[in-house]
Amino acid sequence: MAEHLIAPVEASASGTHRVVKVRNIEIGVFNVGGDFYALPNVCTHQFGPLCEGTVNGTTACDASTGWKFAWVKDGEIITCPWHGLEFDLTTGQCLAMPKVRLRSYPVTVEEGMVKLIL
Amino acid sequence: MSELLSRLVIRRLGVGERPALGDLTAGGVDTREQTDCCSYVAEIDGHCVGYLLVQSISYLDGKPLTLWIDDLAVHPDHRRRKIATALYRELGTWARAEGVKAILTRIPPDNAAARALHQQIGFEDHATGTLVWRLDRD
Repeated sequence: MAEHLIAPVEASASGTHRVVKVRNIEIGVFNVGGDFYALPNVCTHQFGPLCEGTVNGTTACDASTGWKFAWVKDGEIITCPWHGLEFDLTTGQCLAMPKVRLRSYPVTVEEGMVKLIL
Repeated sequence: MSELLSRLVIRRLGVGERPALGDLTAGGVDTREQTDCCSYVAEIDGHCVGYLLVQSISYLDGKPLTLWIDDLAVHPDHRRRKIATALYRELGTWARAEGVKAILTRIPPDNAAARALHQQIGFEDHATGTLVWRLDRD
């Protein structure tokens, strides 16, 4: 495993993300409320550029919301720009297909720099 | 050549194993520790003559769903001997048995030899600029 410098922390504000190329793969690096997460820029559906999509939340209607529609996980969901498949940035979990998840790469912050471990 | 290939062994890299790749590539050696156990090394008489470094980028029920080729290299003295094809054959056999849907990679447009090799394997151009080998269509 090796560390790859991504960007200074001050250039990676909460709610923003960037797509970087590490070796020959594109990876999206996301700042979610001060915590960093990284996912491959490849949707599981038709291999679309997932991390070029928008970061948002999603709707839920289950026991946790009192069985009423509610807006949840704001800022924690990435939506593929091709066909709208949604993934949880913090886990890589696909929302529509619970058995499917993306690889989640470790990200650290050291000496003011965001570093991806790959 | 066939005598040499009869001594060719393709084996899987173990988790945490760093392949002893020597100076196979001009760009330097990828010493990334293997974490997925789906990379392969080609050896002749115990000496590494090629490698195929692979990672899972998505999972279905904890099993690999999509794979990404990080790097492929064959020693200059052993090129044009179907070693890369043998590496991909082993990967493809394993991936199909695991239920992998597709294998992806990215190759520079000006690397005609590598692109031709991958097209021969079964990779196709994709709209995102990657190459995709659809195992679920075989």
